[in-house]
Amino acid sequence: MTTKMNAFWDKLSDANLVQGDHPSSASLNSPWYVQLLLAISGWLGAIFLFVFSALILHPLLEEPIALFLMSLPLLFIAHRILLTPKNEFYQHMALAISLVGQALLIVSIVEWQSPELIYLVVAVLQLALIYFMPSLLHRIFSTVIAIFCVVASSTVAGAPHLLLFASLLIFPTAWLCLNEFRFINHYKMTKGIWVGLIITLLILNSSHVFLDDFQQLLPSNTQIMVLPDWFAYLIYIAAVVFVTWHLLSSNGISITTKSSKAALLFTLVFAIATVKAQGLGVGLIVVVLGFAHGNRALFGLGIFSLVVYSSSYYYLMQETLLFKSATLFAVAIFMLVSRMILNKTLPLIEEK
Amino acid sequence: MESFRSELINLVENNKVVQLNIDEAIGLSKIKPDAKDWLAFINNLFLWIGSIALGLSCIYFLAHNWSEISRFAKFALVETALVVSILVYVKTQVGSAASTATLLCSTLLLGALMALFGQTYQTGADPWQLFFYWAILMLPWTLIARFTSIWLIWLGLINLSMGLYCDVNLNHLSLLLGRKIDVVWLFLSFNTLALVLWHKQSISRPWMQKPWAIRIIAVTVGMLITGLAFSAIGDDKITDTLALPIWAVFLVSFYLFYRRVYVDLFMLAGICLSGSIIIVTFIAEKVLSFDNPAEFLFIALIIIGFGVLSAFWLKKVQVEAQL
Repeated sequence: MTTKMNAFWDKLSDANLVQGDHPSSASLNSPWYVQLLLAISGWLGAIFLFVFSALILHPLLEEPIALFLMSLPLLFIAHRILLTPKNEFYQHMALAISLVGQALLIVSIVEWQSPELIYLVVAVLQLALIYFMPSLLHRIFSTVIAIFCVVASSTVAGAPHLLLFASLLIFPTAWLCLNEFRFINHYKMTKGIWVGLIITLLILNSSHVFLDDFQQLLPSNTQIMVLPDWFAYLIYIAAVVFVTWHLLSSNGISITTKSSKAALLFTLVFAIATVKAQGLGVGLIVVVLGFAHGNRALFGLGIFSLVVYSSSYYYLMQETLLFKSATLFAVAIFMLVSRMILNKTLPLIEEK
Repeated sequence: MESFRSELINLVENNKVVQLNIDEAIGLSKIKPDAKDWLAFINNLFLWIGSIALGLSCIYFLAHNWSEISRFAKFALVETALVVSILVYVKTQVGSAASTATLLCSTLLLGALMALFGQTYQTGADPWQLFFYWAILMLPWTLIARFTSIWLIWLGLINLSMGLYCDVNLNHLSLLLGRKIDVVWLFLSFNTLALVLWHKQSISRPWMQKPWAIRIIAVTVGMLITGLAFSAIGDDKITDTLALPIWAVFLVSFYLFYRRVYVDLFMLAGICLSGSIIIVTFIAEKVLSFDNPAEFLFIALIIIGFGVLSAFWLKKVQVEAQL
């Protein structure tokens, strides 16, 4: 056990807050970049495993039923492997096997007539995998894919509302992040979900950078449910205000206090100012959520997303450069004036 | 403030803390900032977002295709903004967050001025000169600021101007080096030099010791040398270039420095990734013919094997480093 863990264990032990024996050093969690490295290995391995399976089972590939029947044992094997005690080798072998199983299952239904139904089935499959597969990486992956499938299904069905989905996602993301330790018996599952939600949220808000208009990638003959823009804006504003409200209440600050009202008013004005630059608001939310629970990786991810969004905002074609300039200017002045007011009312001795 | 976040999560995941005690455990782990931390955070957030948004808004404003505003007015606007930002810097306390943010804003405004100059006078200058002069002119306040982000912007501008220079001057470096060279080698040399100097200078300068800044430069170097080695294998030029031997030298140097001199798990994870990519690519390109399905299985097992070996080794180093 590490010295830091020892110190923390002793603290908790003195307060009678822990149970059982000291955890061993083998149970130490790997940092995010090590997990990412392993994820890349697992997923790259899965591609080659898939090609191998496809070549071996070539005669069966044209039989959807056979593919479906082959996919289930693979998913079951992956599940059983993940249930074994923590071991990096098994974790990644299971991930690769599960991805092959999923790929076979998707190929087995790909010829269905209704693409929106295919996307929905994949989303439901991913939801089931979030529940059953006891692996953080698997849950993150499944959450991201599930949400993208729901968005794709809705787009193909005639309701292409990418930013609306992005705004709606802010609610569960913020709630789960701020209630990170609310369900500690299911901590691993909820962590996989909220990390996946954050990744999806950031990708959706920068979709114009990564996906060159996601909606146009999907065929949609008719738009049966086109909501007005203001509806998506309202959801975004409500979501940003919700984050502040939840942050205040989770820190035990009453909504009726002056500082709470000021914070909510500030958030409302900020949300209105960034309604056409939602990536700024979302990036800032991720930064604040990271800070709220001392999560440095999340904090860094938020900063990174802000840098990416602000540099790509220039190329966003929906607005003129003059409008974008005005938006940024409004945000800048609002932020700097708010800082002046903050320093007048609650002076902070600035450290060098 | 040092928190015990990862330790708390570790205990939660190993069922050592029950739901009933979690609030008290969170309190002892110090993961939640107190009122003073929140105040400082919000103050800095307002300052940084405000300063950067102000600089960017000026660039966007000038980039708009104006016909109504005269040349003089445009210059007056950006130069006034620049002078004001410098005056604000002079008024603020040296070394404070406010002074650094103001310098960052001035840096962006200087870029806007350079762009406007090139746009207005159609100087015939190549785009690389814009970024190069921007980097040269901001150098004084980069030196004054002693701020990591401004140095990284400076490094980014130099990289960009080098890339743009090589775009329009395909063979100029041949005067220096005797034959045409790949621009990636130039990037690699410059960024390696930057990494070495950064490490050397950071020994006596605490503001340069931020791990994330060193990691950004190191990741750039790692990506460049891995890309060169990857291309050498992919383009079947293993014997024509020195990419693979130099990649091996980099890998060993990184290992020796970040394992023996200064333990950094992030860098070691990068070494593992680079090593896996190049070795797997080499085997896939040079050893296998892919006419047998079993070869795909072999490659899959090699990839997973490398991942697992990396995980075991990194875990061992992590435990050692934290003992």
